[in-house]
Amino acid sequence: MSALPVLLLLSVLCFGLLQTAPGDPAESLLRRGNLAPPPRAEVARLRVTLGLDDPLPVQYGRWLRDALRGDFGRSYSSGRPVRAVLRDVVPPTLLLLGVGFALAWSAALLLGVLSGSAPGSWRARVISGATVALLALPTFVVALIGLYLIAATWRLLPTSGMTDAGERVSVAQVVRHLALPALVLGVSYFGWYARVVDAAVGEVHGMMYIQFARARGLPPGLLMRRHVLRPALLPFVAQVGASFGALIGGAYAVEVIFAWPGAGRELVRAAASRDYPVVMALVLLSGLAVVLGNLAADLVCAVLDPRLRQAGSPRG
Amino acid sequence: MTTTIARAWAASRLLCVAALIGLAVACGGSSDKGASNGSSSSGQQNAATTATAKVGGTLRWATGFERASLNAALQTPSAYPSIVSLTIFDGLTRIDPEKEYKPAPALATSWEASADGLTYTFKLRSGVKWHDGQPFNADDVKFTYDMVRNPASGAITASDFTLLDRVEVVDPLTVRMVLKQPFAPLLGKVALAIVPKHLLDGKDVKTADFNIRPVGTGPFKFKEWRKGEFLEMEANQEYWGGRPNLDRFILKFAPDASTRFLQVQTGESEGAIIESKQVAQAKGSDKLNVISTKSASPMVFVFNVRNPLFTDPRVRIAINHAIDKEALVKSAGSGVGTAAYGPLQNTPFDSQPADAFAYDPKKSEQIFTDAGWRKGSSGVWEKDGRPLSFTLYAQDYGGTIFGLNEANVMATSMKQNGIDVKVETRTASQLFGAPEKIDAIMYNFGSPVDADELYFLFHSSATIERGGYNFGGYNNKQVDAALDAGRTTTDDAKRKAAYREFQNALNADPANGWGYYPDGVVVALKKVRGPKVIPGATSNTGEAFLFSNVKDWSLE
Repeated sequence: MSALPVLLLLSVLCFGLLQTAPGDPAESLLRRGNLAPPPRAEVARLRVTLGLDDPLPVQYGRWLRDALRGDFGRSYSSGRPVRAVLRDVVPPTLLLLGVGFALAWSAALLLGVLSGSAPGSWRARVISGATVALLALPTFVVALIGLYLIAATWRLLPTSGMTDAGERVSVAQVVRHLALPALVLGVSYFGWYARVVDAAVGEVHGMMYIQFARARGLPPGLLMRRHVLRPALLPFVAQVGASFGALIGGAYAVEVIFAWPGAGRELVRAAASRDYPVVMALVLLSGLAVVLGNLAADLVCAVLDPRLRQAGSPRG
Repeated sequence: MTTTIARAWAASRLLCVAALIGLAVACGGSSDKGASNGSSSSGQQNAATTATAKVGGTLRWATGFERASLNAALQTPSAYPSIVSLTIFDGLTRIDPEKEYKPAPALATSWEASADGLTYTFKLRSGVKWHDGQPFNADDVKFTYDMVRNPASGAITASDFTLLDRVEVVDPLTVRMVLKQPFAPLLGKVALAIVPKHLLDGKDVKTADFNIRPVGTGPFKFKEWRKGEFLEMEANQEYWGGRPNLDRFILKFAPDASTRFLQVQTGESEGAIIESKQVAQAKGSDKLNVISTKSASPMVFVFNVRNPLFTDPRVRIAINHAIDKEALVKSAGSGVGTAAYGPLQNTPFDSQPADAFAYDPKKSEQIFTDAGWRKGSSGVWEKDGRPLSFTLYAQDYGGTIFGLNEANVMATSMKQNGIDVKVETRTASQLFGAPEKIDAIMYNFGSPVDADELYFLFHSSATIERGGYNFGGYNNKQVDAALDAGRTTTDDAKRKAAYREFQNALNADPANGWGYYPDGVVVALKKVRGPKVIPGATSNTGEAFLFSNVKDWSLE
């Protein structure tokens, strides 16, 4: 499968980029407080301990050999095994983005169909207008608006964190904390997908065979479900598949503003502190998600459009 | 129908009984503690709070910085404490912010120094127990200091004890420390957290479970650390100083300053440290107490005195007079701070006039002219065909750029007075990896605890290689002599005199471009009793010193 070489290439690229970026993980680890530079002798000693002075192919080879066994090493910053770090940060991000995306996709489907099936009508104009407006707003602006209105002013939901501090974790708690950030993500990302659905539905709706079916008196609901949606969904599904990468790298701005303990925050922190093992693991997981997402999208598209099932995928 | 009504009736009767019992417990249970303090230093000043302090309750504090390891002995020097080092752990001494940051008894009840100042004998408190119930004794003290000074442990705190030769156990409650030379700050340095030998002996301290599940002797016990979210601590009922008023103390982690402020406004947290630009809004709220403390950490830039442009001290003095510090306070500091003129402002050692480096363009011009500089055609000062132009660097240490605002504001007034300054950012390793090539770096230093902390910055021997922070290459014999005297004399009056010498010498030959001292501002809900306005209680390490007396805090 083409997935494996892609992932390998991704890991090489990531490793290479990390090495070229200025900054030294040993120096970063030893830096006292925020601003005190560590003695060069200590930095040199730590570099030897961490194997940072070995030739690059050797370092990469070591990482690859361990990674294939499922051992992503230890974080340079905390000394904890990277697997433990992943176990801490990946599930919260999957939860947040999973729910956020689900909200975005459902809203996009619903509103996209509503607007695409009646081009030019006032409802299409309202929905398009709202879509464009939301697309223009950066995610952190939506987050801050949501935070100030819903959490601060109307006090409907908590402002931050994934659970209540000092309380035993419960599903209800997580749902309450999840609601606002997921809603923010949903609102933020909905525009991307709504436009695709809107355009696709509009295009299919205008085709001759649909016009003909309408002329024959086919009820609009049946028309939509059986004849319009299947071809119209293809671009939407493809876009959804391509979005899977974000499930890990996630939504940094939202995670910071809502103090959500997720992988987006962790990835940025690790990159800033040159915590290579954590960065490599998260980037790789991201890449894996993209590959799986595209694969899933391909399969769904093949189900939707029988023409794609014949003689191999047109995408090659 | 009848069964439902009957059940409802039974349920409501049960509820009434439960409510009555609950009320009885609540009223009977909360007793006044009275003066419970075992540690002599915090005895008298909290009369107002402890006499009527309510016992119980949970304090949630929003903080921005989450550490990777909670082993405070390795991570946290006593001059730059963290909240955890003050709550979960004790040191031999305790630094008392309300007594000019002088050391007070903690795990050590008394101490004696030998006549030559080289040997200190500490008598330890008896009956102290670790949070896991094991008894504390001198072995733990020796173990802690040996671990810190062992290079294999990678302790950040090791540089505090380079002058310590050895620690000896005399008997289970007596410990002796022998120094290589007299060291006046020792009693403050031994406020370092003591860790248990029985849990760490033989373990690899870099990966020990202790780092995420610490055990100390302090007023609060570690309960739970949900990574990325919060750190929960509960009252140590058997604390030698008497149990704290609070039942639980939770640190909530939120990297964004607006989020922290919001948490306090909605009541999700009872307090947080805030940024200067939020102060106006905080003062406008009637639910919040705003505690503004003068910090001991100035924002400055450090001259690379190896640069030939800066060799003449008059140039550095003239540059200082060309920096508009009031504008800096108003813009970068949002009006919350004071102009800087020396390294020991807001500490008892300060000896300089407040206008030592006041913004004075005419004076700056006079000094430049007297030193042989002339203004070139572009308005920039020139001497021997070389213009006074340099680059001021702000540190990019990943995620945030330190000092960029301040650098820009300082550059503006400097440029208006004939000094060509460019502001750029670089990562810390680029700057400190080759400090000889860097003209000037934005910096922040200082602790309210002891003037000796400046040794690491201004002494010519404190190069980066030797574990110091003097990366500008500053080398002034009078400053060296004054700092050495201040470090080795234990006589208070002589120390003050030495540091006066130091400040005089420094101001005649400045190592820094002085900026301003930002105030540290903390907000807390009105029901939180206990946080005090003490100079230096917030510093570049955050709000830690504010928590020196957290044992006595309570909630209304």
